[in-house]
Amino acid sequence: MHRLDGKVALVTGGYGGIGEAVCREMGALGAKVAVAGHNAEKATACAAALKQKGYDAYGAAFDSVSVAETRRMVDEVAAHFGRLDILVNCVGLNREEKAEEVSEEQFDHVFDVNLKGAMFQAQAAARHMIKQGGGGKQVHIGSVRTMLGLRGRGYAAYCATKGGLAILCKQLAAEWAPHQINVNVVAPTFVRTAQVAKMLADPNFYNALVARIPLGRIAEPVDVANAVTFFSSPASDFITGQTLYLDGGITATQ
Amino acid sequence: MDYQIKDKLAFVTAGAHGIGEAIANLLTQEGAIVIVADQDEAALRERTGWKGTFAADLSSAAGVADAVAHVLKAFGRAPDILVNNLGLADPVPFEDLSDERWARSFDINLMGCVRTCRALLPLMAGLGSAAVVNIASDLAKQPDSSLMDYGACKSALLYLTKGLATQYAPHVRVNAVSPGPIWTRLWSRPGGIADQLAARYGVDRDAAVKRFLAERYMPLGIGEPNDVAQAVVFLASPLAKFITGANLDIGGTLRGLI
Repeated sequence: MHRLDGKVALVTGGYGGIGEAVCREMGALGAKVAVAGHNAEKATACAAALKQKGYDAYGAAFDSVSVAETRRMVDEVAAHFGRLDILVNCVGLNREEKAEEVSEEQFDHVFDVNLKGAMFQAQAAARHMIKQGGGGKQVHIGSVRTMLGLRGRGYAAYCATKGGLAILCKQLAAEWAPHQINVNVVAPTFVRTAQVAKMLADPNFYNALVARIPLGRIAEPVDVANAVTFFSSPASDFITGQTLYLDGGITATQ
Repeated sequence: MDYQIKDKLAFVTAGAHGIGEAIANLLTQEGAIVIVADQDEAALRERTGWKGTFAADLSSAAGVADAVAHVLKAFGRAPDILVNNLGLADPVPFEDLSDERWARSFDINLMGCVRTCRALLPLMAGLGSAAVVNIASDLAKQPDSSLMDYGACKSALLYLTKGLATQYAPHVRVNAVSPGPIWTRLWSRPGGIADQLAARYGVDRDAAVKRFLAERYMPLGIGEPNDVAQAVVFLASPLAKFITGANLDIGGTLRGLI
């Protein structure tokens, strides 16, 4: 059994479906939690809800496609709590476009949010972790699309950026291992969040989706949060550069 | 983090020493009821805290059958958690690996797991919710010319993990961990890997291990059995209830780097 008492965790995309579950688990394990996202009101509200549960929490707003904003926000969180031990990056989006119709604007946007944003969140957090000494933990949210293409759908930008995230994290793990900073990826399939509620409400879509998942259901946010807390805790001190698929067995069938 | 495995019934193969022992101890510490099988009867007698032990040669069909029968009788039903830890790496140049040595390695490093799974998985499926964790190796994916037999069997173990995960979903989750070098008897025993490296490099043991870690780019150093146990217990626990057919590399080898 591991606790995270005294640790400071920054969860970006922290008020989204996955992020909110991660924040709750982190708080329950004793971590101080910074909830960050582009919407200041939502970040503050999520932090307030965590405080109501008795956890130490802080809301911070930032624009994840701005490197300067990202650095400012990470510095703000580290200044507020006095340190930074854990980064959980739950920021990500998809803009579906058929490959022959992918626009530069949308591709750049998905790239900026999913991959460039991950790089500079990781860097800003690592600078604090290196300066503090004593290591740190970083967890980024991948996808089964880190490994698998998707037929019949316009997923070029999403697959490319989620695939890139895995090798980015492997490289960051390699460079920061001497500082005891572990960098891992949790790669889920569909997670039941408000973001995809509309798609899941369509029974044809849902049934076709779960028919491909050996465990016969989609992921719940808490499933992702449990893996994230494992990778944020001392239980995983010897694991770095890894992508753990949390997909009900989808990638095992491939 | 509460692993939520209190009172779960767990069976660990080859658990008298090293990684298996650490797994059995952590499962016990987290509230599971554990039976350990191993061929080292003397070592099993010295271990405390587990519900039971059973001495058997798990590299033989008869040994596995006896151990499984014992577990089913002692628990009164199939276990909730099965950890397949049987394995032995004995470096031999490829040219000197005889058919007999290949067959022996096959029995230890693959068939022990196959036979245990074949006997227990249909029964574990009947429980509705159960978990298997297979102990593979980074050598399953990273070739080492002196451990061809071991690596080939461990590769097969990853295939078996994915195949059984698919077949036994949603009732039994089957996952694997692939440890890199872990400080166990395999390394520390007289004539073990540390001594072999010392002979190869012509330096003392400590220097030899250091050089090995540097050559492999292993900035996290060599792992401890408990590093593996933590990941195994996580994957066996309800915290990982949406994870099946997965493999998790454990170690500072950072396989995939050059």
